[in-house]
Amino acid sequence: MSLVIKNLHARVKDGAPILNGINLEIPKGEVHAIMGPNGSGKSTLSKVLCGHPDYEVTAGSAELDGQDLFAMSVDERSRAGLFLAFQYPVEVPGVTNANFMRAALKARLPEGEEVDAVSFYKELRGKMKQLGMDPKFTSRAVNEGFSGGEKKRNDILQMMMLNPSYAILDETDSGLDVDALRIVSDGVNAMRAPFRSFLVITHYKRLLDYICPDVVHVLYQGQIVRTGGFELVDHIEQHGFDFLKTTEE
Amino acid sequence: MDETPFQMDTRGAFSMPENHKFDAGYGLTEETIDYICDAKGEPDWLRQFRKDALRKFNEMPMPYHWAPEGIRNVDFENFRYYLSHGATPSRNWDEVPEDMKRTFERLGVPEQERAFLAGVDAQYDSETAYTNMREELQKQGVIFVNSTEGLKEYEHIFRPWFGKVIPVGDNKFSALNHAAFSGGSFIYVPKGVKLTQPLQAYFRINSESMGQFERTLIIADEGAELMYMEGCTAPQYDSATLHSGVVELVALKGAKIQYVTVQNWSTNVYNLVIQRGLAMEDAEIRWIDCNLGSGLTMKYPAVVLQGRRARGEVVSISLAHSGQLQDTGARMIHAAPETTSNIVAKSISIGEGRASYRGEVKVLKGMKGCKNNTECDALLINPASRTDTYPAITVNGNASAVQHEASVSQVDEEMLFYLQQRGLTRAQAMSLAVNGFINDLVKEFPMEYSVELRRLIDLEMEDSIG
Amino acid sequence: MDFPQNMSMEDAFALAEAEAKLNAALQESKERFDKAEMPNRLNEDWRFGRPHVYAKEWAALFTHNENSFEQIRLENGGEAAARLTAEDDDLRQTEMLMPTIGSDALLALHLKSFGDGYALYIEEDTKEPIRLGYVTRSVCAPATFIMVAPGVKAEVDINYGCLESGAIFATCNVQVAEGAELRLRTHGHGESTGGRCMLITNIQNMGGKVAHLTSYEGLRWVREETVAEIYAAGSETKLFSANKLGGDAVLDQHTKQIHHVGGATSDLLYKNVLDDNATATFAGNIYVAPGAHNTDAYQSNRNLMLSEDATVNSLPGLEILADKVRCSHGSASGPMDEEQLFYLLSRGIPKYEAHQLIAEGFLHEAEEKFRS
Repeated sequence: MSLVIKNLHARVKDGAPILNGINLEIPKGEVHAIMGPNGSGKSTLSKVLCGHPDYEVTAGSAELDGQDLFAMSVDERSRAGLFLAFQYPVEVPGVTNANFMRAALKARLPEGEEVDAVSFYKELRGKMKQLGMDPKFTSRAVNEGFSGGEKKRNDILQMMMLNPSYAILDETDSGLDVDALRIVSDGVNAMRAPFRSFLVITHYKRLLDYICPDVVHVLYQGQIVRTGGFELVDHIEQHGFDFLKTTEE
Repeated sequence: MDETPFQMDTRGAFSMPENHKFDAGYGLTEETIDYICDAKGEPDWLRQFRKDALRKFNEMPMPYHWAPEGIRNVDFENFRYYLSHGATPSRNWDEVPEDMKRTFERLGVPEQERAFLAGVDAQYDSETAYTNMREELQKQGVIFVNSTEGLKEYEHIFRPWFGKVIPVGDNKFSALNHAAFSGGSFIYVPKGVKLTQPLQAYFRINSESMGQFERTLIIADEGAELMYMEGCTAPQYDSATLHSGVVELVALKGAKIQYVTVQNWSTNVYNLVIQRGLAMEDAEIRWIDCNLGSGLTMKYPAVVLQGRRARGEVVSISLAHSGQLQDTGARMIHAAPETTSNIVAKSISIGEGRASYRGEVKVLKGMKGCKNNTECDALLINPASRTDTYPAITVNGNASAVQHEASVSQVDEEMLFYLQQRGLTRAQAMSLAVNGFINDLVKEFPMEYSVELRRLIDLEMEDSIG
Repeated sequence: MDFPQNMSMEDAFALAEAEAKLNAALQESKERFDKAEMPNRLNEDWRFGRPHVYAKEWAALFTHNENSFEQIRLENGGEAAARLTAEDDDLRQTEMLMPTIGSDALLALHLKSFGDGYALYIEEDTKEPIRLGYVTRSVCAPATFIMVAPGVKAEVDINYGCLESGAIFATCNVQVAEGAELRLRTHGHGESTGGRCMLITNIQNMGGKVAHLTSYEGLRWVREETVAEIYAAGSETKLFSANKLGGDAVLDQHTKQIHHVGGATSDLLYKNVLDDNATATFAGNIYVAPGAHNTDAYQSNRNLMLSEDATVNSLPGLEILADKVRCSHGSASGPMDEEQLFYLLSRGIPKYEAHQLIAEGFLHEAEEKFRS
């Protein structure tokens, strides 16, 4: 059981290619990290996997536990167990956090079945407490007027509620102060399990210090150019991404 | 010379004695049209065309149900419909009759021509007195003549587009212009030719009770580019004068037309003008419009976005002081998918002046991916100043986005205080603030015009603050 | 005239006088109606609506039919409420003076037709909202008068129900005294898509706080005219509307915020979600009278377009004749935000539900601001 990406090519709709043949396998239970300079295609990869309409796949495949990811709609992929914590979580005016989460959970139940309100709120409150979120957030509109850090926390809250089997964290550390980073990482770590994998996209070492990845990949010009262990993180922290350019020559 | 305290442009406020070879008299009848056609030596089809237009004009109602009140005072009987020295313009300033030459010299036209223009057309009452264009442009096949010459010498290009963008029956004033038109420019820029310097028209009303009905048709063939500028002035008279021009632009595939107007008529002029452009695939039309003069202006430059990805823009500045109503705005008709348009309008009301924005944005049925953005800002200078905003937006379907924002404000007292504390007079401070308000739009005008604009604002502020 | 058997001379005289007054008033209304034009393309051209859809039909409906109420309901009215009759001359005079926007003929038609309704003289804070309901299966022309006494906080809900192809033609006169607060909710609905509704509302704010929310559902067409007149500095007037339109529904809303005096605030937010073949028109205006300096007035019309056959006409407007004003208006019409939709889909919410949630969220803003 794993997320398998083979020879993935993708581009902005009618635009320039961004992903140029990505091969990646993330088995259940593992935490993988992707690092790479700006414009290497990190965020594109996460959006393409989730089916963002701005991008199109031009070649290659992706399978989630043997299911063809690209044959599914955005919401089907989510219900199949794929979760994306957005780099920039979206504001949805007028829709409360509670209603939003309930709608997402209800979509996972058999047709006609309702989410049990009592246990739902109990669980929601509990997880919010764990993430240090004000209970009032349940009745506020999704991400509307939230600070950058609050939005990121809210995305992690959704991840905890939806229990995905594959979670992609797209630069979740950007915009977080040290305390928030700690809380978010603790939340992620608490969810680590043999039946769940993570793909952590980041620029920096500091998040990876908290969430120790099993495997580290380096993405450059739309391809995975290096794969290794934590030593790769240290190397990048010390030398930046310049070594990629030198090896290219 | 009769000058009111609010007559702001000292340059245009003078007149020459009348000296006409042709005078069609007051009022517009079939006989007037015969007189015009004979004087101009026009073909029969046009005589008939004008008479049909006159019939339409007489049948059509005035737009009283939406137009500003002031239009009720327009009395068509009291205008003179054709005044000229002859229908053939000179190509050389030395051949231009002395009084006209002196007029245009005082307005700085020959000087500007030498300095930065690709061509000039100078109209005096009903006819063009002078028209000329740089030789290299003639060699490239650019046509720049007055409308009479255009329809006679270049009928094969002129006629297919004449009255196609703004049809005779579009409204009463369009019918009027079709019946009585004289002067204005005909321009054709061939495929791929890009003019680096602007073409300039200058409209001068000299005579009392004049009705000026110029007619301009500009065709930019595929990939062509040009900028056209028009300036307008008239001396102040007690009797009303009517300026009711029609301007049609056609931007074929990939072409680009910029049309700049700086209007500084005296306040006895009714300025009722129809300007509309047709933008085909990937073409762009920009109206850059500045209304400073006239007692009543009604003017809403329009772009019909007829081809995919066509772009339209209106940049508008208007300034209304006491005794003036500037009813200006813009129209954007999205008649093809993925078309985009942009409207930026800023107005300043001074004393008892009134500036109104009236606009229409329409996304037709079935059009997808269209976008419009409109911004209207009004600045009120004195307690009795007035401003209005009347946009009309129609959106069909769920694949286009239209957005309109309007605001009204005053000059910030804190800012005035700050500037005065640094030693500026209140008028200087006000003038600085007003210039700041329209600064981003003034940049859109050619340098020579923007300098003039700022000078006029300074003058105006001195008057209003006293 | 038939008098009851044992009526005193005084009573008989009073009755005769009342009836004569009513007849005179009806005659006056009829003349006013005959003289005025129903709204049409020419008299409403630039600030256009869709009067061709309903103007003729409306004139015929209320010229040829008698008032017929299926139900007139009042809850929590207490001592504040008084039932109206056609003979109520004072209130009729009040209605005669209502300002109209677009069409005087419509008001004259109502004056000619109205025969029932309620007057609420609210002199104590309301604990529960006072609820009024007018329901018809054919046609009816109720009138409502709401007066809120100084310093009193009141909440009123008015419901207009159009059963089958019922048509309701209602007026509502509101006067809010100094220091008073009124929260007025007006809801028009039809049980099928045959219902039609026309509402003319006049709010006079004499120095209090007013929030007014209108909403309509399940109706074939609606015309709303709401005029808020502001007579006191420091007062606050808020107008809201939130509607989800589908089918062939036509919604025609005309509003005017009139600042007679300076130093007051008014705000308007009208939102629509349009699906299927629905058409919505918003024609609004802010008028700041000469001398009404230091006015704050805002106006916003937002439309969410869900179907390629839906149409929206948005005509906001400003007329500013005073100094030191802060005024703005905005209008935005467009499709559902792709990023919002993607976000909901990415959480596993199916497309249909995601659309519903976003649409409800979109309208929610108006309700939320009304309640706050």
